[in-house]
Amino acid sequence: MPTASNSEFIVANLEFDTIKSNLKTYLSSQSLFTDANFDGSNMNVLLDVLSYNTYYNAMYLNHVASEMFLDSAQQRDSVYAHAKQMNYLPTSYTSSVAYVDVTITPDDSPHSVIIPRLTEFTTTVGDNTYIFSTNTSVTAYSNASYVSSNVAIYEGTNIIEYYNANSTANTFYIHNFDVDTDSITVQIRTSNTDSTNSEWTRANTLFDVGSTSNVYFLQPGANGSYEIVFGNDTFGRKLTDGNIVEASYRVSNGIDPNGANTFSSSGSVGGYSNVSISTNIRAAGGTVYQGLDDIKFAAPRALSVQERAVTSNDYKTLVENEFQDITDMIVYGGEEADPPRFGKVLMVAKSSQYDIIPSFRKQQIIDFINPKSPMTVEPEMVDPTFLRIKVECDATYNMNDTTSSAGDVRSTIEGAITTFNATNLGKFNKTFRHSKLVEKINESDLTILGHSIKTQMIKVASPIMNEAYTDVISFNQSLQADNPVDQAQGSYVNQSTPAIESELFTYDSTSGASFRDDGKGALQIVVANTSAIQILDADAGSVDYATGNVSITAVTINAIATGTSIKLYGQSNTIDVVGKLKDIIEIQPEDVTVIVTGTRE
Amino acid sequence: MSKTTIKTERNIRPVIYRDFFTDFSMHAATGELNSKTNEEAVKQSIRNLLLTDRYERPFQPYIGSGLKGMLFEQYTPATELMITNSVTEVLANHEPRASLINVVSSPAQGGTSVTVTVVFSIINNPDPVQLSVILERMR
Repeated sequence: MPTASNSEFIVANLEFDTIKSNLKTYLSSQSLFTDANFDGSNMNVLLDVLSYNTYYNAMYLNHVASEMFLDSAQQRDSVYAHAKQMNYLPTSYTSSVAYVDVTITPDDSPHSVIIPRLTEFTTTVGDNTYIFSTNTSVTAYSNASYVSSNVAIYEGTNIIEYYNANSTANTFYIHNFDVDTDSITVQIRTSNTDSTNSEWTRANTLFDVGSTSNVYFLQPGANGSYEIVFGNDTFGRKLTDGNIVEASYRVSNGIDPNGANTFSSSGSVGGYSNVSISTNIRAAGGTVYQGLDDIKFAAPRALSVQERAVTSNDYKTLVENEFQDITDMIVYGGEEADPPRFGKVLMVAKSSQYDIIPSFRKQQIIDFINPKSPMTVEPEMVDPTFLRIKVECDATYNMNDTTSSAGDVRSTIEGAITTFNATNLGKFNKTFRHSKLVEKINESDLTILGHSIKTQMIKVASPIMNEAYTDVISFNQSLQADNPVDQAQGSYVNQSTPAIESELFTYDSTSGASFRDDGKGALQIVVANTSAIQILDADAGSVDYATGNVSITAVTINAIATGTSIKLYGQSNTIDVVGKLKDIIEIQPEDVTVIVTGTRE
Repeated sequence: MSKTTIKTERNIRPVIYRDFFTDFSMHAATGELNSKTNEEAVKQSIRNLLLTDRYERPFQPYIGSGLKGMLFEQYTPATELMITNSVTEVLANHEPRASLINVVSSPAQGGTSVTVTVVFSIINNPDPVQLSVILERMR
């Protein structure tokens, strides 16, 4: 550390002790007051004051400098202020939404029953009760009983706030931090004596907003809140003295109500108390407000997108910002599809809430993205395809090095595989690296002496029982064509490794049947054990080893041995499996088999 | 004929320690800060230490004697011993210029205050210096 002197005074230190030490060193070069080094001297007390002052200022300036930039800001207020400059609105709490059928049995015979907006329903998750409500009125017509199907109900407490407007105040603070901003509606009364409301709409951009447009803007406010802002008679109509602003919205409980499945009415529905409710889609989609790291990531990208979907990244950024449950997404032009679909933009999304995104959610995404797309392009949602990996691990561990049982080591290996899946797979454009999995298993427990791993790809076929089943199942990977044994060589069946195998099912009243290719492109149905093979159908379809397409042609299956679908096992031509286009590669716990043997070395 | 004292190199004591007054008092003629030197500067420093409580100075909680806290105790031989120990400790830790010779404490004003007398010598000067500090309860 350099020594301070008259010509060199250290100013870069921020700690109190260092600042004071520097001052003492500096003063040691003068002889007027020499007692700075002694704790009891007045000079020392004076140095304390100087050091405190320097320290406080340094800390203050350090914080100010940190908060001045989006990357280093720590205060929610600061991050929101930076986001506001980028015209980015951090996402709020989002209400969980469920879809239910409401059946009303009236004691009279009305033409129809209207279920009003904000009709409440209750549900329980764990020990907590949550309120869901409709956000629009729904009509149920008579059809044996009065049924309204697929009614969307949103979780949250409905709140109304009133503000007195004047010509100088055009910004109003929403007092609940847990507001679902999508639920905000704003109505304006011209004065206290006026009983009619006019609804103003929310504007997200200045496009199409004129001086007489009845619009409001939403912007981040202080402490993580939101503010309603009105126009200035240039962009949006300005409020006038005496106007009453009525803002109604929902306060959400975020993720807690997700999964709610059983609902009951809180009171009468449409004036009738004999009401039954069945759930079509359980509650999902509830989220908490956006984290600061997320805002720091999303705000600059939203600025670059400028609310327009042009490149594939624009689509991805816009959708992921708007729909919090979308955790990954790929977007590609229809010309890349097989067969090509020109004029389309195909969006494939993975949701944290749904295995396969339901059609209403897809429509919401399309409705959101459509106005932002070029006119000649039609966006379309496509389901992802899941390519599962079957893992069979045979490991040996040294019992001299540990007190753990074989079961403990097995659990450790299974945990390592689960972690590997969470870290490396489960998203688009991911590749299953065989060697990386081997490495993770080796690292999982130091007592593992060695292990071997056999992997296969899995696709799922879902035939209807006792009906002719035709399908093309694509592994999207080239398959390793072997030369499986035929019926005459049955005793060597355990030495063959066909490109395609399957779980067992009953075919032609024969149980224990499975699919198996013949190594020459034909798909067979066989009954095989380790020493014999019987071919039940030599032409159940075909296998394209280059593309990985497996065609099943008019196969009638009587029963499935386990579950309701059949797993097809494919042997990849390469040891690694590359996720292509809309494939999501994943390892599910049910597809993992670990055998551990102990030895003493 | 008046007697004149002539200062020579031999009888002028060099200034080793110099501190300013607690009240920032100025020299009436020059307007400069008055200063205390040598044993007076050390006495002022010891007085400051005795009148400072621990945790009183931010970032330096260990500086101080804790004598004020003892004013609310019954004055007993044990209290006297504690005062002596505190003074000894604070001088040892924070006043390296002073070599402690003796500490005497005695109640005064009918037991409402304590007089602490510290006798010490300054390093390199064997002459004893005496400092008396009156500690008084304010409430």
